[in-house]
Amino acid sequence: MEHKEANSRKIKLLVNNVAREDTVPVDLRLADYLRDWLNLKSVKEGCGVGDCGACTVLLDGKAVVSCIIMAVEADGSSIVTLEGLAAEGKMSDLQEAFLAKGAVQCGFCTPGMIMTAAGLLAENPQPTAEEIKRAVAGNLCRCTGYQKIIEAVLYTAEIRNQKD
Amino acid sequence: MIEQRGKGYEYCRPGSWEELAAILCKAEAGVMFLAGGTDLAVDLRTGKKSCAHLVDLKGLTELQGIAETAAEEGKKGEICIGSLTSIHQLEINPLLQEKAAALPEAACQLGSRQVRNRATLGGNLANASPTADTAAPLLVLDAFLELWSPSGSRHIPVEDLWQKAGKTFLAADEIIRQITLPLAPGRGTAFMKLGPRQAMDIAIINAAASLELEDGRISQVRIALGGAGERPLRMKQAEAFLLGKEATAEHFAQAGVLAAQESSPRSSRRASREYRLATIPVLTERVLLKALSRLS
Ligand code: FES
Ligand code: FES
Repeated sequence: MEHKEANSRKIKLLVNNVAREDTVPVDLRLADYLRDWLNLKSVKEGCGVGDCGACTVLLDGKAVVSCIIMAVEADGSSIVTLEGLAAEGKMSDLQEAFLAKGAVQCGFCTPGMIMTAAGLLAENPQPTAEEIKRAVAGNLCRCTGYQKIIEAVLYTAEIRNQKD
Repeated sequence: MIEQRGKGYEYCRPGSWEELAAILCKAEAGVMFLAGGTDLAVDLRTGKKSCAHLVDLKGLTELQGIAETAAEEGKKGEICIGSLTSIHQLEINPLLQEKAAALPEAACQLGSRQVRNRATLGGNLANASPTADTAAPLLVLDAFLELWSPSGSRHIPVEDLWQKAGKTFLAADEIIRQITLPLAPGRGTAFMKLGPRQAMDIAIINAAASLELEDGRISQVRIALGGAGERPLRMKQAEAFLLGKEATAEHFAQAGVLAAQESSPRSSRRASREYRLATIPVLTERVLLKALSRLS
């Protein structure tokens, strides 16, 4: 079968609050655009088919898996990766909580896990353990057994609610 | 940098119906519509599917949203859902939770949170999987679809959408524009799914039911199953059996046996035909009991 070069298209979007304009092949995946073009290495590829959650980012505030979205589909939207959570090089409370609770082992799932949790907390600031479990059902972790991850998210919610 | 080899399709995202019509009239063949893309993106990449023109419908923002039209003289109330409404929106919508519980109940069990944020109702239907989680609820809710193509629009009952696994009756230039649920105030509806994991998995079997009672007897009943045949199906013999009977667990169990008799499931990687046939009666009975519990 003959494959011709992919067509390209110009996209404009916000990535971690920085305006970007790039001309990308129409079949370039958002995950590859973020990781390879913009060098945002927190975006991992695990399965490449939407099942493991390692490539999770926020698209217009909602957690999505960037391996099954084309970069052209993100035209006009706002993307946040883990790098965008650490404003001015300082880790966010959610990241700190993952460390404090021992929710990170090898770390491969961690960026995706944290982005899913960030999306959940934005929508539901006081999730129950059950709601957290459901939210991270699409984020696979081979190391931690999930319990500490759930604790870290609960802890973040608790700290945030104390502050309000 | 990863070498990207294109599969040679053109991508466009029309922002209006006129623009969409113009694109469709110009494109000779090989048009594929893109909604949430949670299945299509992988299929295009692996080569399982291919197209010459990929038409992204997300530019048509009016395809998103859920709205109720109140009942008027001689006309039932209804809920209208734009076809590009995300599965997550269905899951959290209070109107649906109150008046069409089976649908949000199915929505919250579809895929992962990340997939639900992206996948759409119209996409789930047009994908024509026999176990599409939103299909059985729409069948028992008597949903109908508004279809659109450059040559006009038409309405069909949701039942008439599917031919067989992966194949709809939609014309090549036709899309689902809106899903309408007629409201029935005294109705209890429910959805259940059988899969290896509680979360994430594609169902082996899924089931939905809706029930109405009058003087303790069943005056209206719908049962639908996914995974029981080549497409999502209403179980009409089981329904006919229940009509006019008392709503008891025993009758529901008998209806379940009938449902298995009118099913013709396939064996697949996920489960054998025999396993599916053995579980259909159980799931049917349970979903009817659940719908009943929603009545009081
Ligand atoms: S790499 Fe995207 S979900 Fe696994
Ligand atoms: S910490 Fe290793 S995969 Fe989660």
